[in-house]
Order: sequence, then C-alpha cells, then structure tokens
Amino acid sequence: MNVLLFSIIALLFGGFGTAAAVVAYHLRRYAVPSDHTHLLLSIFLIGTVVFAVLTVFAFLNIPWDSFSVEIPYRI
Amino acid sequence: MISLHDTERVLGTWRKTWLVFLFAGFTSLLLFLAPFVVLWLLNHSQIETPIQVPRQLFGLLSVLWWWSIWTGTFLAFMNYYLDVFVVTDERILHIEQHGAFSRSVAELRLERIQDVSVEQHGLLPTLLHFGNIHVQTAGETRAFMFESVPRPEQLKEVVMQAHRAALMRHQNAPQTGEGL
Repeated sequence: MNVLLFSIIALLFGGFGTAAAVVAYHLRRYAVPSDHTHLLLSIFLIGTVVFAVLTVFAFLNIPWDSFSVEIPYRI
Repeated sequence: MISLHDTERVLGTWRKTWLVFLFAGFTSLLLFLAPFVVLWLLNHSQIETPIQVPRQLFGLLSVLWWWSIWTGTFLAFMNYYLDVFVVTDERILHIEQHGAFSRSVAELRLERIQDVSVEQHGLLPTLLHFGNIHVQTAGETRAFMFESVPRPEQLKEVVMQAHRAALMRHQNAPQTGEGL
C-alpha cells in the first residue's frame, strides 16, 4: 500500500516538476532582455515550492493505516 | 531571446493587450475558490453525498488542485507573455508561443511591406483601444497579422515610418552588384 501511495505522489511531483521546468525554461530562454521576467519567474518558483511543501505536509497528515472512504453499497 | 544583427536597432516591442490574459486569470481565480465552495456546500447543505471523504484527504486533494491551477495559470501567462511583435529598423519579427512545446517566429523585411491595415471590431476593442494589425507584403498571399494589440494605430505609424526609412536606405545604398 505504501509503495503504491508513494508511487502516486512521486508521479504527481514528477508531473508538476516537469510543468514548472517547462515554464521556467521558456520564460528564461525566450524573454525579451529588457523585461523583468526574472521577478515573475521567482514568484512562480516560490509558489511551486510552497505547494510542494504543502503537498508533502498534507500527504503525511493523512492517517493512511486507519482511515477509510465510505462508499455506500447502493452505488 | 531575439538575436539581432550587428547594426540593428529595436524600435519597439508589443504584446497583446492584458485583457487577453485577464480572462485566463479570472477563470483561475474562480477555480482556485472551488475547494472552499465544495467545503461550504458539504458543511451547510442537507444533500447526502454518496462518498464520505475524510477531511485530511480533502485537504490533500485541495492542495493538489491549487497547485494544478497555479501551474496552469503560469502556462497560460507564458503563452500570453511570449507572444511578441518586435519592430527593428530592418525587419519585423512576430514571435508566437502556441503552447509548451510549440513556437513560431516569422520575420519580414521592412522594404518588402506593401500595405499595413488596422481593424477594430466590437464594443470592447473600440472602448479599450485594442485591435488587429495586418501587414501585407509583395508576393505573399498570407498577411502578417498580430491580434489584440493595444493602440494599433500607434504601431501602424511606427511600422510605416520604419518602412519609409528602410526604403530610403535601400534606395541610397551603393549598388555593389553588376546586375543581371
């Protein structure tokens, strides 16, 4: 169970990490030199790190061994 | 990054109006609030939900949702921000970002321009002063178009002045070849 959960979280981090890398690469590579793109990029990267930390915190906060999702029999 | 020739000078850089991004930003804001709305509905409504989700799991799903929106908003911003129309004293560059891995750069020599036209259709473009600009060249069937540019008349003037200056330079330049 733990292996499955950690695989899911690793996949999520991989996806979000790739998306963040794509945005960062494009904004750095193709920006007009006179623009202040680095400020926006910093905001984006800080936000991404904050969400990554929050995800880890929320993930560890779940009592995986004891909790259950109740699905009624009729559905 | 734009690579310029040795003596080339940038006359101006234009982006689409910020209103283009405003729609994406507003949608993101609404989507950002969605978990709060769902939580409020679960706490205050009398509707019986078929699946009972524990609070901690709801927290994790909300964070993942917000992270997706954060990333999606910046991807949309990247698409908006990297669409650029650059006028130099030699050429026009139209750089268009179509997505994460799709980008096109079109280039047009100023002396080849035949016609520049501006169009503004609708209430919002007229009131907020944005519109489309078409640059037609000799021998090209497809016009060079930049959409939703703020104050398109000013851009048209810059392009026309640069075109006239390029023509003058072209005519005054010494003929180095022997001709046909």
